[in-house]
Amino acid sequence: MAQPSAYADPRRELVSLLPRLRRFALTLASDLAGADDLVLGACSKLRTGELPDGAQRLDLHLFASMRMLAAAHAAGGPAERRPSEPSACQSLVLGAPEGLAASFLLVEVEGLSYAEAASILDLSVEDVASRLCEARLYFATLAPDVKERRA
Amino acid sequence: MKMSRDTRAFRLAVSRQLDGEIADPGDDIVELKKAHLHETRETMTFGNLRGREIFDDILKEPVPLDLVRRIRSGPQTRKAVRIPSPRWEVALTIPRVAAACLLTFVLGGGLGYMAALKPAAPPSPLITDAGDPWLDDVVAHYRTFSRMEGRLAELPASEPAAIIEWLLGNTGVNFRIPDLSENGLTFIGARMLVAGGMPVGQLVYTSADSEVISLLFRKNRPNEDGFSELIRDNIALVSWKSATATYVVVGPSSAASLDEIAAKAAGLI
Repeated sequence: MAQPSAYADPRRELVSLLPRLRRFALTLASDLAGADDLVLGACSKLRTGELPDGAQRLDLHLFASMRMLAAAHAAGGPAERRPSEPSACQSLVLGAPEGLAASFLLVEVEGLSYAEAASILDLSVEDVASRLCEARLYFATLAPDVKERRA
Repeated sequence: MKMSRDTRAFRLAVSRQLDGEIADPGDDIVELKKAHLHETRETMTFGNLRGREIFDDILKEPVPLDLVRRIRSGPQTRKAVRIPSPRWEVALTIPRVAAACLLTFVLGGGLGYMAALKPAAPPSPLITDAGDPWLDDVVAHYRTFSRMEGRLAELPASEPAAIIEWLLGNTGVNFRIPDLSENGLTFIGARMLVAGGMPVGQLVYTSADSEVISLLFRKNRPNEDGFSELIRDNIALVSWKSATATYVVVGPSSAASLDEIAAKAAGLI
């Protein structure tokens, strides 16, 4: 669903998007604290500036912003962070081979096209297709009983 | 695991076909791997299901209160990503170490003295999550009933005396019906539910945007931890306790003023 570029209260939008933003951040980070840092960083950048004219959807804009922050962070090397314990499902995503879970999430779960996912992840469409295939094979190896049930 | 180029191409083609990106995997590839086509499709489909399950479950994880607060409350106080900066190399000499020790001692002593002068404050509420069955029930109930337009209340707002008698008699919690009109909320009526094995009273309000905001209360349980605020998926909860009862305001996580509503309700109920 397309969202208008001009939105009344960014905080309201951001809070409602938080679970999805955090989920995507998990596919880019190496731990929970790193994922939260990415979410905070992307939201902070948004609050200090306008949503770019070209950006039609706030969620996709934030996804791309987190991907850029993750790349900058990776270039800077590991940072010291407070320890936090991931859930079983979070661990499975954090433990996935690098780059696979993000492609899977965007295409299979968020419903984006290969081209949209490629744009967010700064990859070619072929790379997205390849990572998606690898991700499916990876998730197929995970036993169903590892899943954690919550309300 | 080492894969041949053909196997990789075959799997990739099957994967793309699952997404409708290509019509079929290609005659030459299919011919080559015909025997594995069904098995590979099944594996890919199972991988899809498992991946979706995992990501769906992650969406239900509570979002840390700290993260919600930072995003709700304006500018950041810390940068989210640490940009690499030149390392400060300071030579450790005996005078520098001695000065640092002295400074630490003086600051620590001063802070300790000031802390001792302050009266003991009650500990701030803990954010316990989330595996609490009564909160699970509250969230599940909210998710279900808040979609029932026209059937939000069991007793309508026009019967305040009956509401108080009904909920007081069943929950044992003495309360008033807060007027939250200044917060843009209209009182719709009351409901009762059982959460965590205990009767819970519920006052139902709606906003001008048709958001459903509920104020729930129940008797305290002994040795119960409190929580102040958490978000589960798209539902937010803000809680506080009195000497005898626990209260929770529940609403959509997009309702940025939920904590203000809770503060107002706490003073009125």
